[in-house]
Amino acid sequence: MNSDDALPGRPDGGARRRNNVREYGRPDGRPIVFAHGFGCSQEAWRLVLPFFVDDYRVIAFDTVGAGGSDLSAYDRGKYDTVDGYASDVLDILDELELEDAVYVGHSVSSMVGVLASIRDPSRFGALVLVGPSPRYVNDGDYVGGFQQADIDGLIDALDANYLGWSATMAPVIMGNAERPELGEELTGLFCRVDPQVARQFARVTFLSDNRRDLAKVTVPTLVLQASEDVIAPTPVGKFVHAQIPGSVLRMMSARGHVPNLSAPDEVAAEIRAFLA
Amino acid sequence: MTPPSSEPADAIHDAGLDTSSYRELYDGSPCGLLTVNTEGFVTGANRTLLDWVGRSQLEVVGAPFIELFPAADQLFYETRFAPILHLRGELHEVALTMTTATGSLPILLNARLLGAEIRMAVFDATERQGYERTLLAAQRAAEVSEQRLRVLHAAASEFADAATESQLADCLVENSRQAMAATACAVVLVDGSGATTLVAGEHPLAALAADPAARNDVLSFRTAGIVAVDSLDDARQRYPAFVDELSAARIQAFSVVPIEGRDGILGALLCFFGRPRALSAEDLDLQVTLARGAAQVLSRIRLQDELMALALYDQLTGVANRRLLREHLIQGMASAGRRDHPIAMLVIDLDGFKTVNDELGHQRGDSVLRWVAAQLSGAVRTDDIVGRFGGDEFIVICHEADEAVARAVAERVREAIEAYPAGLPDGTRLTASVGIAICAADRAGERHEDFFAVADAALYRSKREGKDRISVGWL
Repeated sequence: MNSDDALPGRPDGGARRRNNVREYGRPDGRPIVFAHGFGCSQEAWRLVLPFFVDDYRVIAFDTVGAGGSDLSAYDRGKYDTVDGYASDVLDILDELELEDAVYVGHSVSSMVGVLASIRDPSRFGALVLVGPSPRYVNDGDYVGGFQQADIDGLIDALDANYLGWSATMAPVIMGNAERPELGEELTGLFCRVDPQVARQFARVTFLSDNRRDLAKVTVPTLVLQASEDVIAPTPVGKFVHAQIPGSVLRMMSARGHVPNLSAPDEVAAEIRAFLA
Repeated sequence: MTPPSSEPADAIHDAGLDTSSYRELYDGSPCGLLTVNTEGFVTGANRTLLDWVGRSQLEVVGAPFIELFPAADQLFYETRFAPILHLRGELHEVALTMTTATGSLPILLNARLLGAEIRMAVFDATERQGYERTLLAAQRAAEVSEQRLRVLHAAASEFADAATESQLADCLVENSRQAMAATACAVVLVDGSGATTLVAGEHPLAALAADPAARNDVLSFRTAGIVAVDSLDDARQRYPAFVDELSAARIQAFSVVPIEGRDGILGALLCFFGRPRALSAEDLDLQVTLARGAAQVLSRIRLQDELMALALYDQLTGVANRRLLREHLIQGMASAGRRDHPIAMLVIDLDGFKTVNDELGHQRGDSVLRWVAAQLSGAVRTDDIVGRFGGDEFIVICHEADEAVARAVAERVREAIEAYPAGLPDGTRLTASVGIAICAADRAGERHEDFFAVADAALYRSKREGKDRISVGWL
């Protein structure tokens, strides 16, 4: 599981470094790409990856502004939309020459995957959406779960914690024997996020409206809905399922918005069952 | 309720405390204490915490931990801190707001993950929050104005470096895209004829501008002043004709500000956003300021262009003047040598012009010269250069022209001038004597003055042999 083993592929087009792309597992296996959501980095998938390394070519990356990404690549215009993030996913799929890829996106990155798959379905074999929401703010009959004021409050909370941010983000390495380790590069960052980027990413995440895009998905799609997810509540998961033609909705017993960390075994089992 | 402590009994003896003392220490602690299971349910809460939130143990224990917070803090905790707690096993000084019976309480939260249990300590941060708010507000205001200054400063210095309208427009587009965090920006400018054109950037509505009548409104919202459309729904109400194009381009909001010069509207700066965006007054002000900065430079560039035109073009007829002709001739000969093709020069002198001037006056004479310049421009090939050498003498430079081509051009020129309409003094005809000089590729290294001398000599032959004719010479 050495991430530095360069696999044959196109010459480096910059996406690997920009998005701190890491590869594990079998180079000849089916590619499976893990995309983290707002507020964290590719660490969010740390506990799920071990379930796939034996038979998949496992790829994880950081969005620009998170984890070990190249902050100098941050462009305020480009990253003001989910589309901008989708472009990066397509760059990664292109640069790694992935075919029939399984894309697993958590939270906002599930919508990133939706948009990327609409733009170039040929690269995608399947989409797995963990806790997706096409719109967080309530709108008429649509219940996203939040009001505009809640999002403003989130930005306030973000700023309030930003004062102590450096302390929170200090790379204190906590050994935990119960957790499988996935190599040094994934430890010690604890969801490092650039605070300026986090502010804009929060707005992009929680103020975008991609409801109209769902019906355009043509790739086989699994929607994973945790119970008691206050961020992406069950009715939203059902809405996503109803809008994406032929999608499968699985209700998990895992609770909360980060089942990938709180119940990695259940998440992995659901994905594997869907792909089997 | 299960007390969170699982300390061994001998530790209690060591501290000289019995279980009930521990209980009192737990309940009466000056911070709120909570235990939560990995499912997210509260399994225990001390009296301090219950007092703060104003709820009973029955209401709090067994309920989801996250429900102690308002929606904004739920969003933040779940997306930002739940992952860190899982990964790191600890949280330090997370600033949140807790919902209480009477309102809300700012808190700092520390948490530790121990097996299947999360232990939390909650501190009242009311005072800290007071000064923090002030600090935050000041910090934000400072950041906003600092960022604004930085953006405007960078833009101003880049604008100043722009030498042409299109360079300036590109520069305005790029700076605005960054400053406004816009998915795309466009700069449209009004040209001398009053037509609006897209000069730089991407304009999702440009395809709708095919209809000339609608062009100005579609491209620049010219009569609308400052426009801010914050969502597709907003667009549907105010600009229904644009909704399809906007959706197709994945644009959900846009803003337009005019680029105003001293004498009126020069164009517009448009920003397009890929998600709903309610722009603040500060945002729009930034856009206006960027447009204003560009407008000043644009006026400067246009003035320079005018001065340049004064220096290089004949004021009476608008064709190249002697200085510009000389440039074209030098460059044309160099290029002929490099590319291995001949180049030709025509010197044209009007026959009978002196009579026109003498009998009908200079004003009429000037109008004849303007007419001749226009006729020449219409008669030559697209890439040929027409200029006025002085008086009634004109020059045409024909790139890539051998004798046959040069003669054909000269013949068209001669006929075009012959076509002067009625109105000249009796017995006067306006005709042209033409001298052609051909420079073969292998002679292109010669002096341009010598090339001109050959053409001038040919013109002299045409004059001497009876005017209204063409003569050719070779360099």
